[in-house]
Amino acid sequence: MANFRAHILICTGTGCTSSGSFAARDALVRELKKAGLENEVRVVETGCMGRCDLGPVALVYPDGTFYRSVVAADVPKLVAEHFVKGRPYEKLLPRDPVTNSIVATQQDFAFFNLQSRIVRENCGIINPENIDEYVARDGYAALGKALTEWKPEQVIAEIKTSGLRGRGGAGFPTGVKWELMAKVPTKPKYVICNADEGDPGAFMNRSVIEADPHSVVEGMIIGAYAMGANRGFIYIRAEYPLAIKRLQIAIDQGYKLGVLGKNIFESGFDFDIELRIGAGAFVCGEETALMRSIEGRRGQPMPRPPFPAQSGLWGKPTNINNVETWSTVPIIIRRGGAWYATIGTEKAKGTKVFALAGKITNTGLAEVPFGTPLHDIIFEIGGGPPNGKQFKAVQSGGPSGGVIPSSLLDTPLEYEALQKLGSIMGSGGLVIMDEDSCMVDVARFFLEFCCDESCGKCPPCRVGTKQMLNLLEKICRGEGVLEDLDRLEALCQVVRNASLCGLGQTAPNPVLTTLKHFRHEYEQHIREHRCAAGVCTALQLSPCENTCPLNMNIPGFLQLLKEDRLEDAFEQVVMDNPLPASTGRVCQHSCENRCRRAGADASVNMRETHRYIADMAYNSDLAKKVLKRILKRKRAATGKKIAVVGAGPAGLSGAFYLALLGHKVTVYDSAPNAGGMLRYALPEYRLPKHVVDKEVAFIRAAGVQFKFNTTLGKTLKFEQLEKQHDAVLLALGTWQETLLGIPGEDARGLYPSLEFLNASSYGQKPPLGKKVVIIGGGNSAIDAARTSLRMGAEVTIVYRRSREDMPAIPEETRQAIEEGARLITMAAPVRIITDKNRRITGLETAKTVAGKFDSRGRRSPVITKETYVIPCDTVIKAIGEKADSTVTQALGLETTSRNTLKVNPWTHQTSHPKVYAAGDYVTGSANVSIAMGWGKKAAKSIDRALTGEDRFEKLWPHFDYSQTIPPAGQGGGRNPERLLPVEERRGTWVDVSPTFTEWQAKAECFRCLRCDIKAPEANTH
Amino acid sequence: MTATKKISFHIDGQLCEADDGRTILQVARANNIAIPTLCYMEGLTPWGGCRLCIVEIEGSPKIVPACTTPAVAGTKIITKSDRLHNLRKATLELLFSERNHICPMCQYNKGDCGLQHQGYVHGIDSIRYPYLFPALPVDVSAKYFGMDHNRCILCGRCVRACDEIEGAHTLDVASRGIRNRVIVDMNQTFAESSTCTQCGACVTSCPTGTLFDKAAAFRGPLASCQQVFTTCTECPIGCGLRVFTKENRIVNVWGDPNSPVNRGHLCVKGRYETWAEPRERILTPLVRKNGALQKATWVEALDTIRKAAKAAKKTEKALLVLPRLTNETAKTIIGLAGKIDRVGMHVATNEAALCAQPDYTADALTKLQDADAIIIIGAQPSRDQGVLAARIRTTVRKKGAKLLIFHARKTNLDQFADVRANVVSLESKLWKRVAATLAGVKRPAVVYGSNAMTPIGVTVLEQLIKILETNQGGQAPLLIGLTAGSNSLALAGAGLEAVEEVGPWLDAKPLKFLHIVAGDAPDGGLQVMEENGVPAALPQIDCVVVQAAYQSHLTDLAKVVLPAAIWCEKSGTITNFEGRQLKLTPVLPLHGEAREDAAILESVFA
Repeated sequence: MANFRAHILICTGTGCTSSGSFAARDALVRELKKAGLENEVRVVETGCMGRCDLGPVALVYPDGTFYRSVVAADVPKLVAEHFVKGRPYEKLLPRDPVTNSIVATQQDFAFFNLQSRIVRENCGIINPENIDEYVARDGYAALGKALTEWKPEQVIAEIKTSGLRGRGGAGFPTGVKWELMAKVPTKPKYVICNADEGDPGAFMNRSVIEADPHSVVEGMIIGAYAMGANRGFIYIRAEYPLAIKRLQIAIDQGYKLGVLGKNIFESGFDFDIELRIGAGAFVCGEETALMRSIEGRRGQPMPRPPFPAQSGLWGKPTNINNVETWSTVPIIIRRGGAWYATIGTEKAKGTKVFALAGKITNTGLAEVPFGTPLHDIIFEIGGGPPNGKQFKAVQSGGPSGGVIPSSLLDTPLEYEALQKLGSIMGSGGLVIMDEDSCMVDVARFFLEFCCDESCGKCPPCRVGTKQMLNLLEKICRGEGVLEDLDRLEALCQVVRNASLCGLGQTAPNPVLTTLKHFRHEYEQHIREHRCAAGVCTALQLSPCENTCPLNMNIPGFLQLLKEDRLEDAFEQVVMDNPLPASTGRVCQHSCENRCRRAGADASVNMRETHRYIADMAYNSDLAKKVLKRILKRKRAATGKKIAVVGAGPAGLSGAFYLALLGHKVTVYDSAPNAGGMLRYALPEYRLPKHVVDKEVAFIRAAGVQFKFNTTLGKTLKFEQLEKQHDAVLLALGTWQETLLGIPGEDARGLYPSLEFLNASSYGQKPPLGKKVVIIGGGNSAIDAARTSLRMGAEVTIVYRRSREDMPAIPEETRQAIEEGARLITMAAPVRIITDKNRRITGLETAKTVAGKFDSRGRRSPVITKETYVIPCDTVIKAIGEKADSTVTQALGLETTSRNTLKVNPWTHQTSHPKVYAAGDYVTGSANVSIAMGWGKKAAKSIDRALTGEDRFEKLWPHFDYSQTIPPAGQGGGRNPERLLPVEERRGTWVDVSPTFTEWQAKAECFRCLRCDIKAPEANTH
Repeated sequence: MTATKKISFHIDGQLCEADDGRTILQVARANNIAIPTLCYMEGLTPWGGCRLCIVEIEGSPKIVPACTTPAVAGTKIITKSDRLHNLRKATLELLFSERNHICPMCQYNKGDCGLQHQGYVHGIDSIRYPYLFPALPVDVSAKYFGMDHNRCILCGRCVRACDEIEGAHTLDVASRGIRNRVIVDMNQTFAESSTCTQCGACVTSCPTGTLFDKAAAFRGPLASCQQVFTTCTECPIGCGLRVFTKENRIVNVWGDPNSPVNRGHLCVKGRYETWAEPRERILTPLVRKNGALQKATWVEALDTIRKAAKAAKKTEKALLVLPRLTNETAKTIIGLAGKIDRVGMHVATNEAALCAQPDYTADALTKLQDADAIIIIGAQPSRDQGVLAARIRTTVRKKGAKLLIFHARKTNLDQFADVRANVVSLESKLWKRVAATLAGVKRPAVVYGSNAMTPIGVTVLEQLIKILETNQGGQAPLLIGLTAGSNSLALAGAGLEAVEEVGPWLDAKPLKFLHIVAGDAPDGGLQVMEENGVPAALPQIDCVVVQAAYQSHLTDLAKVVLPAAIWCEKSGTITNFEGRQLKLTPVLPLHGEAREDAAILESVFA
């Protein structure tokens, strides 16, 4: 055998071959020959390495360099760099999704080095089509040992010692199963390998067969010997052509080598294996149906007993095990059952291969010991959801598994633990879902699969799943009623208990678990006709509308403006959002995250466009005209009195709608003017006070009365308020500071950001030093920073996570840095250093490193010992505020376990039937638009409670506008918000961002793709 | 065989004892404990699909179907509980919601609609789920029955009946889940089917109105009918019939489940042709006047006959019968010996030899199912003896018996045959193959018909038996001889002369008076007779009296026609090919002026 200085292993599993690994292999051979290295570097085809999403992947030995996306076109460069010049070809090296740094070798790759590979020990290392390579890795040694040294009982005893449990899903102890079969005297007996892997997103069996087919064959021969069977079948699905080919090669080679056929190893034991190709029915993975299918009959399950061990294939004793179970057998025989039993947990021994799929950064296969927490495999190995999205849930065990929410991620991956949660191990598929997944839709999707794959033999599964699917589809269309949830649950119980086989018995799992953990999403679909994730298209006008906390009809105003109907556009805007000029400047614009135009170039600048409309209206007589039109639709006086406490965004929007609905609305506030945070926290350069004034005037004109300088609990008695009004809406906001919990928090010169911003907005000048450090990464930290800059201070922002993790609007952060702020990330404050007068001299910070992922999918910062001091004289902490719980307590209202006010999420009613609440007071500090959305919904709910009707929509104007889908690519590139040059805006308090020009605003209207236009639905009858 | 162990256990608190291996359902039924079922049918493989027979076993959280689960000693089985009731009810509701099961609209109702019955039992007065009601086709292309998919609950009974009883496997289920549908062959209509034998087993097995008999549709429930058990006289198998009548009309004919011969199964002839086929019945005596047959009274007809009979000498008179008569009629005929010169029974070519040495084998039909090789020589059971053909098919298909067919004509059994050859073939290559096929056969069965009685046929038969005898440890073959006539063997045994060729028999002595007993043979027995051509001698005879139930060419030649009784009006016995004496019970009173064969003969020859 020739010696090579290096081997390059190229994956030829199904994943990588479909992305072109065969072409890459040919290119490698060609290029190496061209470079004269054909006798030095050997190209080896291997099976799956587990990172199918990076394919084609290649591994170089001996150095362990792991290359990704090795397409033929890049091969010449790769050969030239790596094998000729002797340095890694960086372009094809993978990057760590967290640190974004290059990963040089497989050993450095978190995805690989956190796994323990037993079943997949040969995968990606040997050439699956060469039996010699398998033998070289101790292949068939176990068979030799079993056949020549051991009696069948000894083999079974060893498997029992190992604690191996069936990997097909149910986890029945393999040794016990074998023993039962061995005891049956009837002959002939059969063994079957179940390779009908049908779960969507699961491909561990395929990859084992493609990468290491001999391990399956060897396992089957050993098992057959132990149980006294002389014939075996491998039932494999036709969708796995490569696996079928490699298995056939392995079987042929096995016969040639004498490990199959007559008198194996002169032991007198005969064994034959045949392949049977399944036609792609999911139910044929069920063992009784699988046997029917091998017999050539319709693949339908039969009730057990009789069990296959008594009466299976053709009525003869039969043993069925999964691919992974069989391929584990040789390892156990070779290394001993006792060794195997040291891995895993008390009840589940060894390792399990999991297929990571769905919304996850590292898609692929991961083998870990049983008992590994879900959290570790999803975040540490899988890297969590991509693009910084928030993890929502994981579905384990394929379509009939259950959904596990983030709160249960500590669950160890183990049969019983998963079962307890209403899920199953199944074959080991893990489908990860993030914030963009609608759990009703997820349940619908998985149920659709089971409904489609039901064999139809028993009515509970055949009709029950269909009825359930119909109910779920109804809910997804927004046509559900609350009783449907009870109906759904009752059906789940029928299908689960009355169905014949595992398919029906487990089909309700996704529905039951989502109902359990995500019931609020179902209720939202039913009660509010909303799908927060924006998946159920019937429940949204467009993705932007669905994402907007105020559900503004964005395509509507864009189209109206496009048609030059500014007046109509403003009416549309102001009805959806009574503070459009403010939100136009400060909104977090989550709408843009979902804009479909982003797929083409960049999202439509919806915030600036509606600001343009609002500014144009307020700066002319247009607002007055529109007000007249709105007042025409104002409902007749109802005679009901409503008190709104708090004149912030939530209170103002609630009051606006309630007044238009004909109620007598009085807004009370402790401040001398209306606006709340808009006026008293947002700095002038971001939201000028005159803008707030105009908007408040508009709301006042709609019929809202204001009473200022009245504080609830002090000058305003709650009892009185309650007595005098038919309903009370509490929109108090959050004003109480949270503590850092570090030494020195009593220092002079330490301000909560809100207090600081509040004071400066009143025109006061808080005594600010020369060097200011701001702790936090949210909008209020940035506001404090930019305000401090304007006051002439030197500003440093300290944040404990990475810049990507900062909750502040990224543009704001960028602008702050442009204006001169220094940003230090990955640093946590540990101590405020003061002199003897308690004056601040510096802030001691510790360097943080990214630690474990939390349930939101962010890495928790871990404080290191490396500390340093930032000299400063002022520290502003901007780490969020909380609601003043003394008010709540004084009112005697119920609170949640997290000490926030308890409200009914659908009616916004507190524990007091007359009292409703909205805004930050309920949610904790959020943002303007979210608070306004709450105010709007609370108004709707109050009106419904007072009048018994749904009158909200009656206030809206109806505009006819074009419903034609615009041609693609109109409007050019995105118009970013206008910004004064940094020299101009630094140190100035005027609005740093001027309104769009007409041309810019119109261009944005043209850029809108009009997702709100829905094609006429196909006739489904 | 090991002796079956007895086990005991409790069902609903009642101590039950049963053979080990019996299912819970079997034991419960034997102990009069009712468990609801839909997909279960006695005689078919348990299916476990409908989920109505679910029961609980104390101490186990799982519920199991009673129809497939063997009872285990010492267990306590619960068949009635709130949990079971609710699950069964919900399952029924799902079935009701799946397709159109609006009972008042279902006119195909056979009386005991299983679904409707269970609906009543479980107190279903409304359905909680929306009706799915897909619009499905109705296949009415079969001659005697139809299939309305809208009523189907997919219990699979028809599929199993077709496969396990008739052995045809015409029906199966296509597609998956909610789109499941029972299909004929490769999703064809019954009319297009190449495998359907129209035996109607599927219809009798259907618990709903899906499969319905056309002639029985719109005739009210079978439960409201009278039931009479009699015997089919269409072929020598002698199947038991269960005839449903209402107001002196036949509503339906099913197999008698208690018949040891057919155990409830029938072929198309017994099941449908005898009653669902429109046939012109002769209801009064007819006498030829001025060249045409005209209605007459019995007195008039008998007068005419007696006059003609008197005009002929005893040697000029003959009686020719077709082999459908009862044993009792045969006795009457033998009693007439002094009055007529010759009495003949018309049999098929080469059948006289069969009649000469009847090979009655008791329980032949049951024994056949244990055969490991079936050889058919010169017979066409799939055309002539449908129930036998069904047994052959199931034995070959389900038990793996070998099938060898030696016959000139193609039959639909050929597709299952290991060896298929013409009966005259004595090619050595073929015989090598036959020998190879039969090697190791231990329990052979030979089914032979009249065509095997030719010299070459006998040679073939002998050669086969020689091959079978060389199989060590093999039993002597089970011999099943088949005649075309339903009661030929017994009639011959009673002393009637078997006549193969009517022409020479008639011509042997010139006749002046010939009385033919055609009985209820649908074509007046002409099918048999026409194989050799209607004897030219017939028109030469002065007086031909035909005693028949239906009009035919034969009656056209007659001077006098006498209305005979049909199968459902007859009494007496026949002897089937196994030697069983089988009773005929009149189902209906004699129609019109028809009389039973023996009574007519007695009046004619009084």
